[in-house]
Amino acid sequence: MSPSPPPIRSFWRTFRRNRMGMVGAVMLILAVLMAVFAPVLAPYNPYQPTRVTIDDIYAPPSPEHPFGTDDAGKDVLSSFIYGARVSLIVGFFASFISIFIGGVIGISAGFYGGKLENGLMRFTDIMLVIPDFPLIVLLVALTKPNLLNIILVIGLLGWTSSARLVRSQTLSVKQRKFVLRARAIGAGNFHIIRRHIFPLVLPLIVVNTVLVISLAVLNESALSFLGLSDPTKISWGQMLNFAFTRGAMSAGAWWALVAPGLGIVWLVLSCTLLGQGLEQVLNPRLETHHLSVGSKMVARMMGIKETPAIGD
Amino acid sequence: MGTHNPYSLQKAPVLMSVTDLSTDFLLESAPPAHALVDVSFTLREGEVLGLVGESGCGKTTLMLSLMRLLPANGRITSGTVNFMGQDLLGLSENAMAGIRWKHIAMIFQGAMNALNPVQRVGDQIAEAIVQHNYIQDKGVVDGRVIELLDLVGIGADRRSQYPHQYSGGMRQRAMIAMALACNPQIIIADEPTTALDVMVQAQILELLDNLRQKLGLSILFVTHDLGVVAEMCDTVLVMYGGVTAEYASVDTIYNDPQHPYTRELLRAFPDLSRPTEKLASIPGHPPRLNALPPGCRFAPRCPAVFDRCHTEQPALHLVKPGHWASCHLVEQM
Repeated sequence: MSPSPPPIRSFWRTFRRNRMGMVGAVMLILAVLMAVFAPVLAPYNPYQPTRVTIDDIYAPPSPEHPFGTDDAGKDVLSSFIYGARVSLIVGFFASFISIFIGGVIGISAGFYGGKLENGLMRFTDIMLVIPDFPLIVLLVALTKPNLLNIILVIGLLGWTSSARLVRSQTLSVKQRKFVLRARAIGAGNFHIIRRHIFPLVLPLIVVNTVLVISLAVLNESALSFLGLSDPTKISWGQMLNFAFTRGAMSAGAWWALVAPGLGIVWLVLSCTLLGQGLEQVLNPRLETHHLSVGSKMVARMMGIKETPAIGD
Repeated sequence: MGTHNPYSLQKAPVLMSVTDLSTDFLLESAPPAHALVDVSFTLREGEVLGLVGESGCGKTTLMLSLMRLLPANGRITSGTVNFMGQDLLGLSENAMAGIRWKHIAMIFQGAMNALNPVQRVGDQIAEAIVQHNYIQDKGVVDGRVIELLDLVGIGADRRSQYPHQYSGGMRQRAMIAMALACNPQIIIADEPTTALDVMVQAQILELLDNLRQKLGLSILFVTHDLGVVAEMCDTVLVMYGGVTAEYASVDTIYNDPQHPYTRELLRAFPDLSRPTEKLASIPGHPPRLNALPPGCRFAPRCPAVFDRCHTEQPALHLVKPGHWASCHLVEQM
């Protein structure tokens, strides 16, 4: 009997077959590669001052500038490529902060129960009902709108739904018999959480992280669009803001809006697809749920219809 | 599978003695349910004590009380559990954690649920060793895991597999290996053969019996199966509705049962020597703990019931040395 493959490899084998998740993963990897290799990929450096003439402002797409130029006569393609960096950095770091807070609060509330749970969950409820975005705008406007502050504000306000999800999963894992066994072994709370609760909550945390990334990306873009971005860093939201406030619409320069807009859609879509794909792979119950019409179930239903009745 | 000589057993030193153990479950909008009332027994070295009774008779509550692993609303209200010269109920939580598994280990019912599905079986067995012996050397721990698996007949190369790659019987054997990890004196086996087919069941029982003789274990054996009791146990504690119905040696229970519940239980068990006889059953259900009858808890189902049973709870009477039964009929004899 051969030892079983490490869990990561068997996970990959299942995940590879999930088309939606794979599409999301490839899309996200492409975006990350673009951000990492921005200096190589971008035809111009958008941070370098350029000499422009009146003809360069809002110039339509041309072989020289495939995505056209913006209000300052800069190459939109180069700004677009560099802009991915801010979105991704904010998306990843803010969602890590969110999921860390949500995970700690959710696991402690679910595991310890009682007064601690009550306190933590009421706090979560309060945070949950406060409209996130106005508060984010307010906090970023009050603090200096630099990259770190934006990450912190988005991260510190986005953990509520994760905390609730993680708590409910912890509650159900806590009831499993192997937790009682661990206690019978003489294990303490921390050991049980680390060895028996956390590994079973982890899939949910992974899925949630990916989904929270897309939320953070959207929040960041919205902030930048409102002019609350780090003025020294080009981001997609900022490009939209400049195009919107500096007359791209009236000049008919659609290219200044389309590229960053589609970039945001691309990133959010990739995270959502990846998150849903991971959810299906890590939570096998979703596939067999009577409400989910997965490809397997469709095939089964078709099969039943196509099978001719014997003896008719 | 030989039962121990009762005479040698009576001379064996007492390992654990439980006196008047009572456990309540606190309910939100009702008075507490008395799940366990004044249960007493002794467990000697090398003894196998069978704990029998229908579902809901307090067998699991008794076990969890001994280990002090009751759910949050469970309270031990009185009694002592004397083990190695100390009362387990009076120990601090930390001291109790040191007793668990090192001295008293458990084999859980339904091994699939008692194993963590995302951890290798070998790691789960090692968990208890590391927890109590603080062996840091990975090689030594691994060697011990191999030794334990060998003891229950599982190949060493399967320690890196996950529980779902094991068959039902193997999982149960892995649970037994886990229970033996710290060389405990007492093993509490909660229906270790339930949900296994008879062949595997026989294997597990034989394994337990071998280990008992090889390692000198005392076993508290919880089961529904009276055939298993006859085969494995030295003494039997019959429970009904949270109280002791009868407590005696296995021979006495089978040949001279005094409590009507014990008799009915034995009658409800198929007998190979009379294959044509219809199987008897005890009509009714065990009492709900929040709606106990005022007198004897078995009175509503008892075939030998009389007036006094409905008004007065019978005490535990000594029938003869080593044989107790809680029934008014015993007192009248």
